[in-house]
Amino acid sequence: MGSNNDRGQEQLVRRRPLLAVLGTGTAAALAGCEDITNQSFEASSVGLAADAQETLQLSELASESTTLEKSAADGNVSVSITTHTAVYSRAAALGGL
Amino acid sequence: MVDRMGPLRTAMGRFVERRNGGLVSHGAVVFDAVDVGLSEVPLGMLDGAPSVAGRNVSLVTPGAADGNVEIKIAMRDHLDTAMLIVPGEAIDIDEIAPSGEAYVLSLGDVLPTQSWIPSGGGTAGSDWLARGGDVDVSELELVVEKVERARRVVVPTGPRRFEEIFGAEPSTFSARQVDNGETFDPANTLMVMPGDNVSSNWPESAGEPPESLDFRSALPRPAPMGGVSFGVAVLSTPNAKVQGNSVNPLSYVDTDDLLQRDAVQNVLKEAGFGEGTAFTVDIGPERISPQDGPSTATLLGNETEIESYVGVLGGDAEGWGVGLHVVRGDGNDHVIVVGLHRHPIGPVDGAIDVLRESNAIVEARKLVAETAAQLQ
Repeated sequence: MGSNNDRGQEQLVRRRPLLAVLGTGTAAALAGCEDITNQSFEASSVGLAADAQETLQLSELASESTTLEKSAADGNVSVSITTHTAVYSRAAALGGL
Repeated sequence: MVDRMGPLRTAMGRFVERRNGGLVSHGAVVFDAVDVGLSEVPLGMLDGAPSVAGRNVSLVTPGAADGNVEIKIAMRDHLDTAMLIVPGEAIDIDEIAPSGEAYVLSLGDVLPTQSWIPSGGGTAGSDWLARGGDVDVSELELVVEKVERARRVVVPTGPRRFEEIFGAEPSTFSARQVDNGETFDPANTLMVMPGDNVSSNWPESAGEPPESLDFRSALPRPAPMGGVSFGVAVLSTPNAKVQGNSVNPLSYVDTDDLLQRDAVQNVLKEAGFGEGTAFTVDIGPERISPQDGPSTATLLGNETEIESYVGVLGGDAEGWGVGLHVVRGDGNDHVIVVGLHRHPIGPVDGAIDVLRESNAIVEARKLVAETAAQLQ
């Protein structure tokens, strides 16, 4: 399930002209300043339970999270997007490589 | 000791793993002998040294591994690198009588099942056998789990020991050494022969054994190895919106675009392409719509389309044929399932056509659908 933290639209409107000039990289760098809106989104993990891995002959090779920082809304919002990944291998489940 | 499963419980699976330098995920391909220039193959390891027409002989050729780059297909140019398969009834002989050391096994201990779904049944695929031979492949239903109906497989060994060829004792595969003078009915026998057994027993009367074979211009098919190269990546990414607009490209781009994204490419490397491999997609990826197998999968309770692609890689991974199968679904998050598999077809014209028509595509789609249904 995604989570969201929005600090208000009025600040967005006031900051738009400045941030439009500064560009997205600067907007990200300014994240944390009082007039910048920060929003973070994180997905729930989805994967195969141990018994499903055994049934399908798929073994988990890796499970990790990556977070993408970007700007949105014409640079007025600093966005953090966290994606979860899981990787499974048939060969590993067979006892090989 | 690791409990070996599926294809690694079979002699062919272990042969492929061994020839691949320990990487069973490199899989193998099957050539028809006539396609690599073998019009006639003398079987000097049998009494009478009968010959068999090349159109009845198939060559199982592992992907092997180049020492420098994990995924690079090693050169293959010699008979010794292959395992030959010949249906006994294609040999013009009344009885099969091995003249040197040989073993007899049941089919289920030699060839992996065709299905990539572990519970999918025990039939070995006909892709193991030559396509243009005299034997009707459709009648060679190779029932593996029903041992009482299984065909006997005779494996002549030498000049190497059984363990050197298959990396395990004969008892691992319930193999029994053939007795002196023991004979077999050709109609119920499959011959599986290491290439160096064939070349070392090449009779003088048949001339010189070929020094090299033309693997580079022949089109093979993926060996039905039970999905040994299959990997699957699952991504769960938020449906992030700001002021009503989506800001997470992974959740809204089409699948053609999605597969080009770094986030997806990185997990695909983890799932099978090798993290350090610098590869390109030389041909494709081409979207395909197979007629056989499932067209949809159930992902987190919702039915959704399975989108499939085939391609042929270049760069460090030159000549690998790959299949990609994508299932996507939305809830609170966007979930992406990408199954992939690769086959060492080689950089040869028509490789993508072989892959497109391969049974591996159907099996992979079944496994991706089963995987999606089990996600939680």
